[in-house]
Order: sequence, then structure tokens, then C-alpha cells
Amino acid sequence: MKRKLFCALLLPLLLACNPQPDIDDATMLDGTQINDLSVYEPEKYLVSLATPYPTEQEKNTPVLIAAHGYSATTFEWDELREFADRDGSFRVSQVLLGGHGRDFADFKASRWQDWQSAICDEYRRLRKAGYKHISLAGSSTGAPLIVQLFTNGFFDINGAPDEIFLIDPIVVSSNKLLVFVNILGPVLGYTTTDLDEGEKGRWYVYRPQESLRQLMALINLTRRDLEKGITLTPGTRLKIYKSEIDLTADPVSAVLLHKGLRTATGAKVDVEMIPSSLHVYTRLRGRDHFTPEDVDFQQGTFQEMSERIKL
Amino acid sequence: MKHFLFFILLFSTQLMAFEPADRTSTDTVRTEITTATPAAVVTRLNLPARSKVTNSSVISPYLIVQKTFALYWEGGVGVDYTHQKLADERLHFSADYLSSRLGSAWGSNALKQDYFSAGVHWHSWQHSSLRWVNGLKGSYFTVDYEDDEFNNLPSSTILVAFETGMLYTTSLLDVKMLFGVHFFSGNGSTIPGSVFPVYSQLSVLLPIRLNDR
Repeated sequence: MKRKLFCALLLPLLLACNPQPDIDDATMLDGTQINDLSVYEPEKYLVSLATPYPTEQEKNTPVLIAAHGYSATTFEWDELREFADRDGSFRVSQVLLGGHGRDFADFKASRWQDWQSAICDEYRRLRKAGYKHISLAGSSTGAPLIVQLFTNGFFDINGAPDEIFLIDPIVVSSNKLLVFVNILGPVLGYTTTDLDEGEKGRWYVYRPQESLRQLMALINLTRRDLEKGITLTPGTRLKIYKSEIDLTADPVSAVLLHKGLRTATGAKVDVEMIPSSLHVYTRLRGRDHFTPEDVDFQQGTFQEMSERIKL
Repeated sequence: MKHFLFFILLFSTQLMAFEPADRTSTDTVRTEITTATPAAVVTRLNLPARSKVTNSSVISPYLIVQKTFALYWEGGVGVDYTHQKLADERLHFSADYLSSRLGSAWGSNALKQDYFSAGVHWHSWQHSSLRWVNGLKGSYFTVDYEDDEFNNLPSSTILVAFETGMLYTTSLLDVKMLFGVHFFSGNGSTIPGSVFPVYSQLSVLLPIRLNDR
């Protein structure tokens, strides 16, 4: 009797485990019909493919590798690329993180190291082509992916970058339920995100529990590494920009990065708290609502990034 | 007549034998009489009878180690208090101080954060060496960001947590293991981001029984 009762209780739980989302292929990035545009025309997004054999002048032109956040696409950095095109002093290489911008199955199967590999691949290609001044920008999850490259010796092998920009980096999630993802994840299967109209087809709607677990593993590892201390490569500078109110990446993430990161000379890294309530305030396109002040914050940050890269 | 005088003498002797030797003895008799009435009242309230053995309080200073799930180790000290009158020592009050300075932040870049807490707990299975403990704890939480750039971020809050767990009592020490859940945790805007929702605590208590006079 006890065994029957146990089975009766366990069966609904097992049936509820790992449910599959209802994906609309025609409208959702999660489906198989819509991919990020960089999948079709990577040379329009990656400097290493657009100019694989740079001239001496092009080699000396700074290149900024821009890494987007979790579940996003290259769309997140379109406005910076347009700013750089107008500015003319640096070029932007928009990488599409591994497992992103394709479909739900790819996202589900990818590990955070796969997400990171797209950044590494572009950095290596640029170095191999002879580009001398490479900087990196990471928004949200893009930030810990870049920070991890300082802990695993990637830049010691491939040369030090000039500037690092971390925009609304995530080390601590604002939604603290993420810490239970290893326990609740197999039951939930996935979570759903509400997207603004202009974001549809450019962000994944469904977040498989496997990828959420990867996200938690990445930010937890980064937090612990920051507690021990992370030293940048010689000659590399870093600045953190963080919205003071952020319902995705907790603002305390900026504090942890500021405490845990040091330049090669032992100096503190730069940090600026932005009086904004947007997550990744540098991306305004596709949002239903933003204010004139948000435009000022975005343009001010782009301008400062440009000035730091030129130095 | 002889018999009458002998009776008088004997009666006087008896009276002298029961006569209080001094004022103290007289007070003793009076005390017995006055305590008789309250004892009857106490019995009607169904409370335990007073005695030097049972009417006592227990003060337990303790060391505490806390691990917040997916965050820091924290350490601290506290004191637990209960009394025979507090539901036969089932109801406990406690106060403690807990800090990451005595844990993860010791020699690392972890945030320096402190909890000043007061709790009330109910101990079930009172006569067993293994007791079930449930309670509520309120804390004043504060964190030091150590840089003026973060002045606009929330750095303190009031926390309320539900706690449940077990206490194992030995002849010398009590060992208590609690799991706690904060009703509110960091949310990216109003509550400090390093307030995580779930924690476990291990406390080692040294119970000191104090008998009432």
C-alpha cells in the first residue's frame, strides 16, 4: 500500500519534469525559422571576417569586441556599432555567443564555455590578422564571460586587451530564485520572458533550465573568483557601468566587481553608477519605454568608451 | 488539688514547649500561613508548583556559524534565554550578532555585512534529547560597500525570517541546526543585493541554569 501511495505521489512529479515550451517557429527566435542576422551574414558583424587582411592603418585602428547578454543576440550592440560608424575612431565586432541566436535546442545544449568561445574565437582571429588594439565590452552575462578570460590565462596566451567595459554586469541576479535552479530546474523545465514588441525575434522567449543552471554556475564561479581577487593583464584598463536600479542584474554586482578586480599595478578599476532603472541601459532600441535621460546616459557612455579606446 | 496543680504545671510546660523561642520562629509560622493562600491560586491556574528545583531560568551563550545558500559563510555570537514560566522552558528568546567579517570576508574581497538579530523560538518534544525548534527571527542587516560611488544603493534593511530545525541536548552542551527563509530578499532596487533567501545555521550553546531565590 505504501509503495502504491509513493508511486501515485511520484508519478505526477515525474510527468511534470522538464516540460517542453510551445514554440511558434514563425515569430520566435526560439524556433527554427528565425536566427540572429549575424548567422546569415557574419562578415557584417565581425571585423575579423569583414577585414581579414587589414592594412597597417587598419591594424592600428582600435577594435571593440562587444558581447551581448544571456538569451540576447547581437542586436543588443547595434546602437554602439552605429555610433562607432559615425565616430570613425574605432570599429565594433559584434559576436554572437555560442548557443544563442539560433533555436531552443541549441540554447538548451550549450554550456557557458560555449557562450564564451565566440568571444575567444573572434579575439584570436583579430590577433592573428594583426590587429594591435583590441578592447572588449560585455553587457550583463557578457561581462562575467569576459572577466573569466582573466582567470583562465586566455589573455596571457593571446595578448592583453587595451580596454574592458562592463555594462550592467551580472554577478548576482536580482531574482534570487535563480539560486534554486539546480533544485527547481528539473521540475520547471524552462522559464518564460515577457518581451517588448521590438524585442520579439531578437531574444529567446524561453529559458531552458539547463541554460539557467549554466548561468548560475558562471556567476557563482565569478563571484568566488572575485572574492579571491582577479588581476588584469599589464596595460589593461577596466570600467564598470551599472544602473542603480536593475531588476535583472543586481546592482551589488558592481560592488563585487569593484572590490575583486585590480589592474596589474594593483589599482582599483573604474566604476560609475548610472541613475537608470534599465537593464543594459546602453540598448534602447526595441524597448517600449525609455526617457530622454536614458538617451543621454547611453550616448554619454558611448562617448566615454570612444575616448578611453582612443587613448 | 494536687492533681489540679500538676495539671497546671504540665499544661504550662506544654505551652512553653510550643512557645516560639524568638521572633524568627514566630515569622516562620506566619510565613507558612501566608504562602498557603497563593499556593492554592497557583494550583487553580494549573501552573507548576513553586520549588527551588523547578523555578529556574536557563541562559545559554552560544557560538553560531551561518552559511547562506549560494553566498557567504558568516560567524557570530549570541545568547538564548528561557524560564520555567515560559511554557516550561519551551519558549525561548535569543539575540545574536552575525557577520561575514567572521567568515567569508575574513581575508577576502567578500562583502562585509552584519546582522543584529532577535528571535523567538518554540521547542517541541521538550523531554527528549532531540528537540524540534521553530521560530521567527528579526534582524537589522547592514552592509559596507566601502566606496562612495555606491552611496545610492540600499545598504541596510530589516529582515524577517522563519526558522526551523533540531536541537540536540547533552549534559554539557546543546547543538542546534536551523534552516531559515527570509520573507524578503535582495531585489535589485530596495533591498541590498547580498540578502539571499535561504540559510542554514549551526549553533553550539552552553546552557547555564539559574535557580530563582
